[in-house]
Amino acid sequence: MKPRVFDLLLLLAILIGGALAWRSARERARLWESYDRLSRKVGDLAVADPSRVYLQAMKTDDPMSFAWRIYTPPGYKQLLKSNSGGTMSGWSSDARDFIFRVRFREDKDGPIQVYTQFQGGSSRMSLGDKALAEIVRGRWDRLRVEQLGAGGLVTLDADRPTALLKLTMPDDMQSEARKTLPPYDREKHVPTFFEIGLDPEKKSKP
Amino acid sequence: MTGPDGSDETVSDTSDTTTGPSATESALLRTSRGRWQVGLRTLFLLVIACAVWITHFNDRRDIATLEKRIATLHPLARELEVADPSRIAVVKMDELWYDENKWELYLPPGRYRVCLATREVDNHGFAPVVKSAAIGAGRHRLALDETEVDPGSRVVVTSDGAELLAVDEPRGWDDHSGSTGGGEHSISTQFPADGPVVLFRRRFSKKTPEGNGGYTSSTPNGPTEGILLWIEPEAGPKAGP
Repeated sequence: MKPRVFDLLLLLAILIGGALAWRSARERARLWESYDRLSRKVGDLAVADPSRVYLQAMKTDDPMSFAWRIYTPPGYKQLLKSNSGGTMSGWSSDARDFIFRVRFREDKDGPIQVYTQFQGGSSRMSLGDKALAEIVRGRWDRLRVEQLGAGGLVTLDADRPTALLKLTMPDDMQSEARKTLPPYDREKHVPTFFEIGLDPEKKSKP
Repeated sequence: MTGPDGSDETVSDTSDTTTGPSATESALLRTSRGRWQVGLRTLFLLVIACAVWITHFNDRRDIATLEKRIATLHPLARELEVADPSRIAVVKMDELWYDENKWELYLPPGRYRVCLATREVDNHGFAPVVKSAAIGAGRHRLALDETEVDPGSRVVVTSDGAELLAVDEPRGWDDHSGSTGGGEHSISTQFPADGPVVLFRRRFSKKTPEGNGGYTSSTPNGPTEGILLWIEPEAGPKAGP
């Protein structure tokens, strides 16, 4: 009689467990579908060590637009610096997961505009003067692009300065720029047309 | 007894002691099986029970991980979520350019209007409507843009790429000395269909001359020039924010 009771209990456990497993499998499938859609849209970072910086480039299909998914650890003090002199600083006591964007836009009769969006803040600035805009107009795809994280996930020490994006003029464009640009723009934008990177503040030692 | 082929057939008695174990033997077998020994059926049920419960616990673990990842990705993706089709849903899209203001919007069945105010904009509540336009139920993509035109500013609201509202303001309306506020709903949110939903509230700062020839800039405490964009049912809002 005892084995029969035990079998009935097992059968009950199977029925309850089966119902729960069916429900949780459905929930898991629904969440996986959402996760898959969202991660294909904005990417996902596998953060193994929450005290480090993680980043990965995102595809934009636009030679004038660049984006990254970035994770910064708690207490990260960032300073975003570009070769045009622009800076953006920020600090967050919490870990942050965000999209960093750099976009260029050609004004019809003016200098190139650069838009940067980093950790909730954004800025727009002019790059060089009109002569610089004429050098690259319609030739953005000829600039040599070095984008950190383009090959996959990159992990950095939180206090390490890092170049995120470097756009360099090809040789013939450099020659043209040296002939036509005023000295200030020549010094700032030839051969490196644009460069932006992280320069985090080092934590002060107690 | 006659079999199917007509031959005689002998039916054996299952209670025949010569073919099954005797009562004594059965007792001996039970004893020799041991206290924890189980039958094949029990073992089979045990395996199935373990399988379903392990599956369930593994799924619960995966669900917890997925929920955590989705919570991180969701604000970044800026997707419009319509959990309740009887309520308005809105999300501000990611800014791909400086001060770009675009929203994905869902309006449940009903009649609505998009309202734009450019004066007497306060920190809360509404302002006198300068222009408004009807907008139908369903999904829309709204955009707000302020551009400098000679001799002032032009505020344009588009719906699904087509101009819906445009207001021209004279020079001095926005002296570009700063502002407070901006686009709202960076995370998809739902609202009652019978109330207003503010999409954008910006209040311009004003320059105050200083004795040394310079000026300071600050946003006035009360109603001032700015931009207020909202959606409300055509009958008018039931309650203000």
